[in-house]
Amino acid sequence: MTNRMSRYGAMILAVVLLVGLSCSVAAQKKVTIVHWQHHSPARFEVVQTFAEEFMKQNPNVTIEIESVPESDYFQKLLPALAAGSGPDTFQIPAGQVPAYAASGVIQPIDSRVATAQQIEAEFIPPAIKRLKQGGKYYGFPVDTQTIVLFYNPALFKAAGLDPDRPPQTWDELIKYAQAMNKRDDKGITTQMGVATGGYGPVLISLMIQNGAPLWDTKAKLPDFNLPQAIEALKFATDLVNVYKVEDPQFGSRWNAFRQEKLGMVFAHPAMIGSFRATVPDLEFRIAEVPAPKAGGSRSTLLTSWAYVVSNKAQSEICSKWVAFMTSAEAQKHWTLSTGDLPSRRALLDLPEYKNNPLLAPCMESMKRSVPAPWTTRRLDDELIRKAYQLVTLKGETPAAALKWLTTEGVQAEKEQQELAKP
Amino acid sequence: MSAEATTIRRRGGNERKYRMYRLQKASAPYIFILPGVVFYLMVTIVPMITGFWMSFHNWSIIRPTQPWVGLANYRKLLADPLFWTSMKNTLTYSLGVVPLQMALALLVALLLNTGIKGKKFFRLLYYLPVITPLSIAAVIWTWMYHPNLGIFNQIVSIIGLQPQDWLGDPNWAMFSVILVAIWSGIGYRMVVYLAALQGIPRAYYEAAAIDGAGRWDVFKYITLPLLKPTTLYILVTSVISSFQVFGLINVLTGGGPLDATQVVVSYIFKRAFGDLQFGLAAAMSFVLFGIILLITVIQWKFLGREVTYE
Repeated sequence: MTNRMSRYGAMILAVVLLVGLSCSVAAQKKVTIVHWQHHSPARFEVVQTFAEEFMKQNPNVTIEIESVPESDYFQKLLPALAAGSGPDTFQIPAGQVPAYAASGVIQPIDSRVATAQQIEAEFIPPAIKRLKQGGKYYGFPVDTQTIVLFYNPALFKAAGLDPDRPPQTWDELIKYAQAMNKRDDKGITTQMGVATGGYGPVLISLMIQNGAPLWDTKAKLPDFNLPQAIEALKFATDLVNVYKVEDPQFGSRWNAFRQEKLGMVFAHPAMIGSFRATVPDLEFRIAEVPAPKAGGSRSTLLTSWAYVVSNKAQSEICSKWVAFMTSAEAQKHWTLSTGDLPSRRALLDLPEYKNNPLLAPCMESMKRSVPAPWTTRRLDDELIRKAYQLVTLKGETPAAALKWLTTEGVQAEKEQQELAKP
Repeated sequence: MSAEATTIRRRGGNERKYRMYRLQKASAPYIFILPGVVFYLMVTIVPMITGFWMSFHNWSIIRPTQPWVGLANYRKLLADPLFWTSMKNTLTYSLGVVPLQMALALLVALLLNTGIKGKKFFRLLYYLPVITPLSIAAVIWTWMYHPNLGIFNQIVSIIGLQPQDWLGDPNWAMFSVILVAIWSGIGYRMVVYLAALQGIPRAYYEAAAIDGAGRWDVFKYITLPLLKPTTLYILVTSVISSFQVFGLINVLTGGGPLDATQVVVSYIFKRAFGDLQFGLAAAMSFVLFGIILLITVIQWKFLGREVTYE
């Protein structure tokens, strides 16, 4: 009896040991994570550093990064996802998360890595608003950007302006721009006062600042037929047509700013990295965008992408990898290397940012930022740029241009909402 | 075993061999072309059929199920003003590029087919744009078109005309793109014409000279008719490629300003990969295919008769 019992005992022990061993082997099984993102040299370098660190911490994981030029990114990503041969983790514009989630090609962040409550406690709301579907988060925010005002203090001084006091209101901005604008005897611009570039996020920011909600809450569709939006577009187009302090024929606004031929430019904070990399000696400063009127709003549009996990990928380890790339430490690294703003609440008030004259206004703008209410990417730049050009190139009124924009925007949004239906 | 049976078996064996030989002979060409056919099916025919199928669905490439919508995509594109704007722009581009490019290519080929000095150098010079990467060419032309610093505005200022924003003004953008397209395509067509010119027998020219034909008569009655097959080839391929223009416009203007240079293929690309409207984009592709097919058939009908001088 005793012998039989000890035999059974030995057998059970052997089975337990075998199961334990096989589990441990499985746990140690090599995992390869294929990660895709659109290319920029600085971003690629940062993600490579993260991958090395992550692989050190997780020796069974190999990360293969593919950095695809942005112009080819979707051309490569979409067919790969459709064919089931796509990457395990990748980035998509935050507004497209609902469509991707509804189609089932991406999976929610593994709750063992971060729960919805944890994500909401750690990130600022505008950065994660577009990432939530059915109570679950489908990604972590990356490449978060607002709009700030870059200016050249040397050109300020030369025009008799105080570089320590950037323009506070739209009227002041016009006066400052007029002071710095220069033309030769043939009327050709030799130095430009200010530039918005007709860039969508800048124009949307001006409308948001001016109090336009840009959204019909009943119809759940975009709406630009609003007096505040018309006034904001008029302000932006008057810089070209009326005050002539922005000249579209002057060429690239970035090159003009690099060559110290442009006094002020509305831009994403990511341009810090670009200016530093291309013209290390360029002296520039940053301020929050001027308010429409004294004491008015300085809120700007928050644009972002999301790191997401493919549906076919291993949930926990891939969620862990995208969480790693957007951790507090990682976001500090992003800010220093590429100018991406941190979206974690804990980082916005760090003394190292508060005391940095370039980053402090960016962090303030991040706190005030507002996400776009729509999901269509066409409204973020393409369509609103066209509305701007209808005024500056075709001489249409801002009201007529925004009427056209509303019609086009509604159609584009309906298409995206249709795609986001389960 | 009788001798008769052996003969029958042998005959039977020969018949089998003969049948095998006939089978091999008949099947060999098909086996040789099989890899090519499979490849062609894979990259052309199957995608075409799939594309046609897609055009009847509300197709999103990432969605597992694609709802059938019948002719809704075709109805939608008929009502889409931007599709027709891009079609009109494509036609303008084609009419602007093809005739001028062909005429200039023929002119250059005729000049380089004479005893001109430095012939090889000029051939190289005219062919260089063909091998220049599009992105590099676009950067160079963008600088040449720069409103303040570009050479074009320097020239127009010298002759007393108003400087223009060549790529930024909707009235000038298409003209500027056409100019670049002509520049980049002359070289290839010149080489084809040059080869055809050198293939015309000297005897025709000698006979014409004996008959006292002038230069214009020789060109009109000998060179031009004998170049007809080449002209047809260049015309058909040039029209097709002009209807499919994408890269040049994408790098120069991106379709702007205000859709002044938006062409059909770039619009199809934008609707598919930008807006995930693959069904609609597929329908647009088939409308474009139909138009190109129609134009090609018309070209063949009117110019396709071969010319021979017996």
